[in-house]
Amino acid sequence: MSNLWYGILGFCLVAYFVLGGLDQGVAMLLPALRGDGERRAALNAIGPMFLGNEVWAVGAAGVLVAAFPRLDGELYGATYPAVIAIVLGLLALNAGVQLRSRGRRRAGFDALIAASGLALALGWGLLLGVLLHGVPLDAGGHLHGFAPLKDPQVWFTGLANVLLVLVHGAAFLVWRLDAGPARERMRRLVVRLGPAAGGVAVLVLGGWYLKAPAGIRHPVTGTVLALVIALAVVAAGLAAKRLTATRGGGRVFAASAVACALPVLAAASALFPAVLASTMDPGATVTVDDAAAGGETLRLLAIGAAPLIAVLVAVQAACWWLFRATGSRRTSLYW
Amino acid sequence: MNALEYARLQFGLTASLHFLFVMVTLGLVVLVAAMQTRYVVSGNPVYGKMARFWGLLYAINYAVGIATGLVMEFEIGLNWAGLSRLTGDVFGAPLALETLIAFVLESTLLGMWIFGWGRLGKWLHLALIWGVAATAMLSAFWVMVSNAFLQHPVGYALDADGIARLTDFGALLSNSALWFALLHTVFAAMTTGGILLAGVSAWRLRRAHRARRRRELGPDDHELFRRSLRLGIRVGLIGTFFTISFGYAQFGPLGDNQPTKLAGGAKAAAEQAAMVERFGPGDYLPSEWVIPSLEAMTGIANLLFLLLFVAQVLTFRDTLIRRRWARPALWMLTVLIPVPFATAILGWIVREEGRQPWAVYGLLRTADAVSPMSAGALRWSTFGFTLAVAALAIVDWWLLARAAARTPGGEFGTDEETGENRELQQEAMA
Ligand code: HDD
Ligand code: HEM
Ligand code: HEM
Repeated sequence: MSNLWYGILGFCLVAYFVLGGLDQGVAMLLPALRGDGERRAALNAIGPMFLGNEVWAVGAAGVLVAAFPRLDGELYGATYPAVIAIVLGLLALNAGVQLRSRGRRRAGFDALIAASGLALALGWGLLLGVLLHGVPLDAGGHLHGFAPLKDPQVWFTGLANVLLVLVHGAAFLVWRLDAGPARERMRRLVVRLGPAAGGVAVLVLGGWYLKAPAGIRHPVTGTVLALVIALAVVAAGLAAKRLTATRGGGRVFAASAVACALPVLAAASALFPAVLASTMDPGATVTVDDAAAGGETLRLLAIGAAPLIAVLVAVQAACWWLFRATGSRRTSLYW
Repeated sequence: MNALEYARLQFGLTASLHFLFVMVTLGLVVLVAAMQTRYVVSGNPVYGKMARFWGLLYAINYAVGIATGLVMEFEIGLNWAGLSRLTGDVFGAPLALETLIAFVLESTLLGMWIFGWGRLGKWLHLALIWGVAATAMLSAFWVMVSNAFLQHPVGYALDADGIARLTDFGALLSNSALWFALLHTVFAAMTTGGILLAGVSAWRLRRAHRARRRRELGPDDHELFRRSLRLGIRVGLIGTFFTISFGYAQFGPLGDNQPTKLAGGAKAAAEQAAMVERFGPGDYLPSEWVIPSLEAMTGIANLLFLLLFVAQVLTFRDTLIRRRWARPALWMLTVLIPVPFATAILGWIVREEGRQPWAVYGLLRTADAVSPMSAGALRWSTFGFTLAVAALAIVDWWLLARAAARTPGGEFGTDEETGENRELQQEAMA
């Protein structure tokens, strides 16, 4: 039962990395878009899905609190600075995107949006890095400082996520924007950044090999997944290269989505069944079973919540389908 | 101040600010859904315009409010680790059901509603706003289930490590600290929504009368606010009536569940002695803020009911709008807007402060629930989060005031007159 809920937590996080990554990517790309018209078109492209994308982060936090009540405190504690950056980033991104058209200082809002997109992409990447690195947790459940956040390898992992998210955001815009200079610029960005991101992903993988943290129990699975990430993001770049200047882009987006989905799985499966590996005392390592709530709680959640996740997926799929028409969103909608 | 005091202050301030958003969300969504229903059923465009005008206020409040809820969720994880560790199995499950079922779904539906104006079929679009309303209520329900567990823990057993494990989910749902409190809260939110509607409409109508020659409001818009005013007063009056009824109803279970909460004088001393006997030495009485807050809440409630009753009488033949001597009543309705918010905060002070020194009544002390963090770290996060959430509240009210002051029409990219989607019309013409 606890593994099932670990899987559901993973599902929420994967959905967030793909969908929320979209928002973060577009947010970070705002400075690369010229003028209010282009920026508005980009924000309107994510418009109908934006709220739906962001809620996966809340959903994941909810599953964490409910199904893994003995994990959230330690996890947040071990990554405190990154978690604070994530919370503030979520705050600023949500408020910024939805309010920019209400205020007069759009440029200020755009800077805020871009900065929060960066904080989020980096923060989530750092979080994965810290998990791979392991945390200074003692047998009593107390944490000793933020040593993992001082390790450059953790920061490389964060950087790799930022690059993946940038490619992802650009790929989405290639797919959804009308033909024009903005789309063309985004296309060229994917062509250039895709292989670069793939390269960085491979370097990060190599870095973890050299470091070989004791917490990693399944290096092979992790390696395979990391290589798939690198391949997918390179494929996105190649697909963008062959794209005509006017149409298409679905494949580019699909490839970048795969690349953004896998980091969570790569990190979790490399560590499994541990979640928080202790760097101080192997006995203090928290596994999925240690962290999970009691059987009755998990059964209740399975009955109460699991079917609704299916409903949620259906509603979000309906949302993408209903708003599938691409392009021509020049209006001053809500945003 | 020590770490515990900062953590409590932080939670109280951020939860109170979060609740300001919640009241508007819960109060307005049902009203907007009702307006849109009348629009779809009757086809009368004034109701469509009404639904869009108030719907924009709703959407703004929701957009700004989400972030405050996020802060609450992370705060529980960060600052109240003891609560998660020892009672997380029971207390966390309903909170998570809330997040998963209610607003993950709610946000998705709301996004579709906002962008669906004039693009989706009328009935499908109407179903979306009712979906939003239903999920908002479900959200309130689950969060109150978990709060009721803090007030009166039921349905659990302690395991060998002293961790509370859920044994009986039904008992959580039939908790005597749940239903009256939930209904009291929901009707308090309806009161808030009604008064907001009436107060803003009264303000617009009053301004229009003063500046009649400047064509402040067209005849359509006058009609929009006239109907909103009547609806708001009616909902406010009914809401207050039920808020008060369920308020008094709470005293029954309250006395059984939490004998120390409202005890005073000799009774307080007796309860204190009984608690010491059961749980060992300590101070088991809540602070002296509880009783005055309760008295203020009930006092204000009765006054509100009286004033709304007068306003309701004055809606007969629109006396309120037409007769000069009744004009001060319009002014009064506008002035009343902040009152339900303040009253609700008082209510939460009674409920939460009155639960002290327990985090989970009779089971887990607040002092044992707090995370082992330094006062310094908590001081900064209290400062930072409170400032951030308060800034959001101010931004929210500023935006709401601006949205309330604008001429109705054109919300959500719809056409001023027909309410159809502007962009689709342009495409059709091209
Ligand atoms: C518009 C807002 C409003 C109004 C007019 C009232 N209340 Fe209230 N009250 C609330 C808004 C509220 C609240 C914010 O919704 C609370 C906080 C927790 C809760 O369940 O509801 C609350 C809590 C609350 C509690 C504490 C329950 C507990 O500690 O478990 C009591 C005893 C009452 N109320 C009683 C009343 C009475 C007798 C009222 C009228 C005569 C009244 N309230 C009017
Ligand atoms: C949104 C409406 C709410 C408001 C305005 C509110 C208000 C408060 C206040 C004023 C305090 C501080 C009391 C003190 O001095 O200790 C507090 C504490 C607390 N409340 Fe609430 N509360 C709300 C809802 C909830 C809900 C729904 C929960 C449960 C999910 C909750 C859980 C807590 C916890 C954990 C604390 C800190 C521990 C404690 O002092 O017991 N609150 N709240
Ligand atoms: C104190 C504990 C509470 C926590 C941890 C909490 C958590 C949250 C979170 C995370 C959100 C935003 C999620 C999103 O839309 O993405 C939210 C919004 C909401 N909450 Fe709470 N909440 C608390 C108290 C309450 C109470 C007491 C009520 C109602 C009785 C309530 C009702 C709502 C509603 C209706 C929303 C919808 C959005 C809004 O109006 O801002 N919450 N809450």
